[in-house]
This record gives sequence, structure tokens and C-alpha cells, in this order.
Amino acid sequence: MPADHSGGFASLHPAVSIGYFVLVIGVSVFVPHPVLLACSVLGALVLCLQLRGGRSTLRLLAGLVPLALIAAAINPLFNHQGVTIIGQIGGNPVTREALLYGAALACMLVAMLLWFTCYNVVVTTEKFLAVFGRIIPSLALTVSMALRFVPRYLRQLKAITAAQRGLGRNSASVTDSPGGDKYPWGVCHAANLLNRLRNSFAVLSILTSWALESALDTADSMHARGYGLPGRSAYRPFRFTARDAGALALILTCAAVVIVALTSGVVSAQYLPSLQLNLGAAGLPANARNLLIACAYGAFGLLCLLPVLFELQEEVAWRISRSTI
Amino acid sequence: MAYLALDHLSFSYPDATAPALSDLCLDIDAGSFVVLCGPSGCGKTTLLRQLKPALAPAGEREGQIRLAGRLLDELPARESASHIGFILQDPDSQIVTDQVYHELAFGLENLGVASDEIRLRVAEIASFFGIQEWFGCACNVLSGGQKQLLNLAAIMASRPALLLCDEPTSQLDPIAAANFLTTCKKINDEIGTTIIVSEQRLEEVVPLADRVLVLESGRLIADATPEHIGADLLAAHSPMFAALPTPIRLFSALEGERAIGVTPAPTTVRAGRAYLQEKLSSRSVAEEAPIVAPRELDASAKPLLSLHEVWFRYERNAPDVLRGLNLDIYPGELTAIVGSNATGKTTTLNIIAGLLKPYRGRVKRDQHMLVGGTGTGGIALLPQDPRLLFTHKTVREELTAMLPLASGSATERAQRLSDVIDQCEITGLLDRHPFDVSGGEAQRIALADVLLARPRLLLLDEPTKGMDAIFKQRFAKLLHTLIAAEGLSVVMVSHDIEFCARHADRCCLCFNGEITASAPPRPFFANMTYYTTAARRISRGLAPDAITTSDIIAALSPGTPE
Repeated sequence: MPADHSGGFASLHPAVSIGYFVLVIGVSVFVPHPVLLACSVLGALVLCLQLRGGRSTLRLLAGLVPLALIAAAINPLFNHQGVTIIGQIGGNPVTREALLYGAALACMLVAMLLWFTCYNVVVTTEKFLAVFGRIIPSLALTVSMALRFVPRYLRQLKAITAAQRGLGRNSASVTDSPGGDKYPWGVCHAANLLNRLRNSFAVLSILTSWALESALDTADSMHARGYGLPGRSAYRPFRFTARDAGALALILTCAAVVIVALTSGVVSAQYLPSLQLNLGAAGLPANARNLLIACAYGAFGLLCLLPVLFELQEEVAWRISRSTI
Repeated sequence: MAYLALDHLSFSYPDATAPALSDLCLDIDAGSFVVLCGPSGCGKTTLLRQLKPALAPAGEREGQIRLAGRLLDELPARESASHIGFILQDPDSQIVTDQVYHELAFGLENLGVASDEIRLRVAEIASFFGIQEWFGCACNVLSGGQKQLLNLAAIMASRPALLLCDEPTSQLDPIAAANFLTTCKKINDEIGTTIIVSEQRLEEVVPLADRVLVLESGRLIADATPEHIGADLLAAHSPMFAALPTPIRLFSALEGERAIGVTPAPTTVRAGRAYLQEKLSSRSVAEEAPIVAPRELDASAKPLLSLHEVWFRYERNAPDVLRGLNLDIYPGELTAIVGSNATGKTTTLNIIAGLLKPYRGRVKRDQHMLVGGTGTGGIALLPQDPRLLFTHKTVREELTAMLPLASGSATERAQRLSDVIDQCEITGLLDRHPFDVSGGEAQRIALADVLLARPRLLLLDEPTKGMDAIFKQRFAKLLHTLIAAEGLSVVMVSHDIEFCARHADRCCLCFNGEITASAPPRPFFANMTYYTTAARRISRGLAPDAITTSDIIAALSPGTPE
């Protein structure tokens, strides 16, 4: 399958990778727990480095970090709850808890954006369609056709504009001419807004006629190839292998542990009015609680680093196989 | 029992005065490769669509079509979808999905083939067509030739027994066209699929075929093997004779009446050479063949426009498209720029028009000679696809809208309009929608559109693409009339070397961003062995300086021009 990055984690069945991203992004966005967020940001960042390389990741961070700083700064400026006052801005108190909460929100934002960046590399459009095409086949075909139309329409628009310029119907041809001199024809038209509007309208009208014509052809081609016959099947270009099953089992196990810990409240985070971590399910004995907390941290950490481990494992396997050649 | 049998088939479109097909009787054997030809509008597309129930146009039909003994109308939709493949003209618009693999699977999905079976079929079809290299691509990055091959492959994936192609190569350059046709031949030879292909350019496809059908105004006027079709058309005095491959035309012209039904005509250049050689051994050649005298070019004329050491690239970091190109355009000449794809031909045209600016080098032109100039000073550039120009609902409105660009008083303009309509022979089309006419007609309307402004220099990008042979001759005549009557100069970019050899005053070879050679067509094409006309390839070393069929005929029989 075509993809810039196709090995390691990206070579898993798209249903597994899409499920994975939904889970990780979901937990990162809904649970502002500092330990879980730290795992999430770390995992996403390392994966991003692996998938997109240092340069591109740095460029991404250059945009992300200021955004995160602003997000972190806004909360304590407007939220004055919290018990520990550490200063005052404009007569309003700034609290430590509000500052921490802002930081958590910023981490959430960064984690989410980094995960989505990775998602875009791993889950290409056709992978998305391969998964959702089975659930809603007509939607998948519509999306696939739309994806084809957009570049075609743009190309045609360019061709029409060029053709109109070739007849001197577009004022741009005069202003772009060598030397940029004003020619008699240009003087009376170039600055004429109405004329320009008329030209744009003409271009649009040609594009519409063309689009309708070509849509007729496409409809003919679909009809000729039996579109509309009952019992349409869907081609699945991806196979679900034992490796996918293993990865899925691992993901589901980790997810189960994390979800039990979260729903029972054993792993929880409260920032306001005071910072309180892991306070739920007070009835449980301390040993069991600590064990569950440790397990949940470990499970989520493993979950976040899973793609990274897949990539590393492949890298190592590749080196070993190369060294034995 | 014939595989495909047409029994007195007639068809009329609703509200049409004349039938589109009349009384066709035809038996086609399984596994044959049939070429269907005829001038545009003769009913080729209508006939092909009759053979594919899903695409049959609305109208009144008489007679019967039987496929393998069964009435075509009684064929279940599923069988008709899988058994009869249909390729349309435009490579782009018949692609449905955005990925090559998905396109290959599309027809099979419609037929409800199981996923594992699709995997197998897609794999074998990709291997057969050699499309592994771009199997993983998105459809919109493919070239036109690749797209049409993809369409063919996608249709062959459902294993049809009958393949119908409606002018499949009309939008392709010659190399891609030849590639497509040889692939069709390969399918025919190796799989045994029955193929009916309609074509305008017959030079390549006729030698591949078993049978040639010629339609004119909905009637079958000739039905013969490629070896005998020339004699038949000659006997019928059909203008379609002019469209036949060079060796056949040469043979029929030289043999005359004797050719009819006796000896088979050569269809390939190789057979044509052998024939000519044999012919020469029995006759004396006019050594100093004066041939058809070429139009004298005025050696002292000053160029109308010249490009001097022009360098151009589309983006800062993109490779150079033009690398020190030199070109002189002389007034009153038809200059043809030939060359293969991506050598900078169209870019050169845009530079001449002033739509692109070279980053190095000079374009020497008259101050007012620019695109959009009024009066007699302007340049007009006609794009490859004339439909890019039409903005109005009828041809009449379209032309009237261009009138303000014409100079002179209202009566002069009206006169100009009716002159141009006559010259371009579009009187009958005035009330039609410009999208509703055939390719050749659209080309004429576009030409009328630009001529209204009386340009001094007309630039044409692939004007003969999709034109039939008969109209090509009329088009050439029209260009020469305009050159003579209005002092127009024409520069055309073309792949059609046969047309350039016959009608251009000067030919330029564009290669690698440069004009490598520039000369009148005779010395130009006579000097080449590979990139030259079929007539030249046949007569190389046999008839000096002959580049067209009439040249060869003249060389063989002095004093009797065609």
C-alpha cells in the first residue's frame, strides 16, 4: 500500500491503528492526569520523531510550544480558584493550582496535536476508507470520488484560466506582460473591476459545463462497469494477520487496566480548589490501591510507547537480518 | 454462427431528421480485431453504444443484435456488465476512484466478487498490463497514456469477452496511443478477446486489425481486410481513403483498378518498402524528380517575431524547460513545431504569446503584438481543448460576445462575423450549444472565435488532435486561405508529423528545450529516418526526397500528379 512510512506500526491493519489512536487520544483529552499526560506527550513526541524525522518535528514544535505556553498562561489569568496564592496580576490572585491546571491543559493540547500528526502519517486516506468502507460502503465510494474530483477541478480551472488568457480575455494577461507596459487594450480593461468579475464568472461557467459533461462520462463508466447491481462487495486491500491480533490483544489488555483504574477513580486528578491525585475508591486497602495505580501507570506508559516499540523492534530486526547477510 | 450478429440494425435519435444508423447487417467472429472508422459524426459512437446495453442512447431502434446467439436485449444486466467492456474517449473522466488499486477493483466490487478473488484478479491484471510500478499511485498523478491503460486494465479485470473502444487514443500522444493499441492487440492475441475499436488515426491500428469497417452517414460503405480496404474505398470514391495508412494509399494509387480484389496491399512500412522496391525494379524512376513543387519561402523576409537564447523554468528550483531556444517566426508562414512530449513545445507557444516570460534571453516582437491586442496587431492562442473557451449557451452568442474585440463600425463587424462563419463552415452550428458539437466542430468554432479579432499571429496547440482525416484537409486549406487572404501567420505545435509534412511551410524540431532543426518540410523530413513520415520511411533510399505519398507517386510516374 502506498504510504511514505509503511513499516513498523504503520504496517498494522488500519482497524488496529485507528482503534489505537482513538483510545490514546481519548484518554489524553479526557483525563488531565499529570502522569498519564506525561506518558502521552512523551510517546507522541518520540513517535513523531521516528515517523517524521527530527527536522520536521522541530518545525512542528516551533509552532506548538508557543501555542502551549499561551494555553498554559491563559488559565491562571482568568481562573482564580485554588488555595495556594503565589502572586497577583492586575489586582487578581494567581494560584498555583490554576497554574498547574493550565499546564495540564497545555499538555493535553500538545499531546492531542502530536498524536494527530502521527495519525496522519500512519492512517492514510485509503486506510481510513478501507476500514469505514466496510461499515458504510457508499460513503467510502463518495469520499474516494470526491478525493479524485478536487485535484481534477483545480487542474481544469488552471487550464481554463490559461486558455482565457490566451485570447486576451483576462486582464491578468496584460499586467503580466513583459515590461508591464500598459497597452491600449489593457488600459481600458485591467482596472475594470466589473470586467474582472465577468471574467471570473465566465471561467466558473466553463468549469461548471465541463464538470457536468465529465460527470456524465463518469456516470457512463460506472454504469458500464455494473455499478448499481445488487450485492456489491467491498475489496479489502488489508489483511488481518496474527501480528495484528497480537497487537490488538496487547492494546486491549492495557486499555482494560487503564479503564478499570479510571472508572473506579483509583487513578484520578483534581486540580481545583486543591491538587488531589488518585483519591477515589477510598474503601480499597492501600496495597491494592497502590498496585492498581502502578499497573495503570505501567499499562498507559506501555500503550503510549507501543508504536515506538514497534518501530524500534523493526529497526533492530532489520539490523540483525542485515548483519547476517 | 457468428459471435456478434447485427441484423438490419437501424437507429434514430429522438427528433432527428435522418437515422444515425441505417440498415446495418454485420457478422463478427469471436476473437476478431475490428477497426471501425469513418468521418466524425458518421455513427461510430452510436453503433458501439448499441452493442453495450447499459450505454445505449435513447431513440428508436429497429433490427436485432445477437451476442453468441442470444438477443442482446435479453442479456441479464450482470452478464452485460462483465461480458462487454467499453472504453470511452476521455481517459480522465471515466476513472471513478482516486487510487489505482481501487479503480482496478471497482468493477469487480460492483459485480459482487469476493475480496480474496478480487485480490487475485487485480494482481494478475496488474502483472499482465505491467502496471506494478504505478500500482500504488493516486490516479491523478498518472499521465494520459497511463490513465487510458488503467481504464483498459480495470475493464479487463472483469474478464469481458467483447471489448468496445470508442476512439480510445484520440486524447493521447502518438507514443501512448501506439502503446495502448499494441496492448489491445496483445489482449486479442493472448486472451482471444473480441475487440472492436473505433479510430480516427488509422496509420497504427489498421495493420493490427483483421477487418476494417467504414461507416459514412450511418451506412456501412466498406467492410474488408486491411489488405483490401484501400481498393474498396477507392472504388467507392470515398473521402475516407485519405485516412488510410500510407502503404495502402500508395499501393492503391499506384495499382489503380488492378488493385481491386486481386493482390493484397501492404499495410506496414516494411511491406510497403518491399512493394516499392519490387515496383522500382520494373520501372524507371524519375531521377531528378521535381515532385510537387514546394512553396517558395522568401529568404529575405524579416522575422515577425523572434526568440533569442530563451531560457525558462516554471519554478525557481524546477529544472529548465527551455534551454537557450532560438526561433524565428516569419510573416505569412505556417510554422510547425514538432517533437515528443515534454520537450518544451507548449511552453514555447506560451512564451511567443507573451503569457510566460523567459528568465534569460530575449523575445523580439512588435510593441503591440501581444495576446489580446485588437485590430491586426494581436496574437491569439488556441488551446488544445477548444471547450476551455466557450462561455455562452449557443455558438451564435459565443461569437457575438467576441465581436467587441473586432475593429471597425457595426456593419463592418457584422460583415466580419458572417465572413468568419463562412470561412470556418459553422453556419449549421450557430444555434447549438458549443458543448454539444463534435471535437472537429468545436475546433472550428474556437477558430472562428479568435479570428473575429483579426489576429496577426495565430498560435495553435495540437490543432489536429481528434480531427478526422477529411476535416484535417479542409482545416489545412482553411489555414492557407487565411494566410493568403488576411496575411495571417500561424505557429502550430503538433505531434501530427504527417499533417506538418503536407501542410506546413516550415518545420522545427523541439528537443530538450531547444529547436534542434528548422527547415521547410521536405529537407526537414527527408533528412530523418526515425522521426519522419511513413511515406519517407517507405521510400528512404528508393525515391529521393519524397516525404508524402504523392511525392512517391510523382517520383514513380513523372507528369501525373495526384
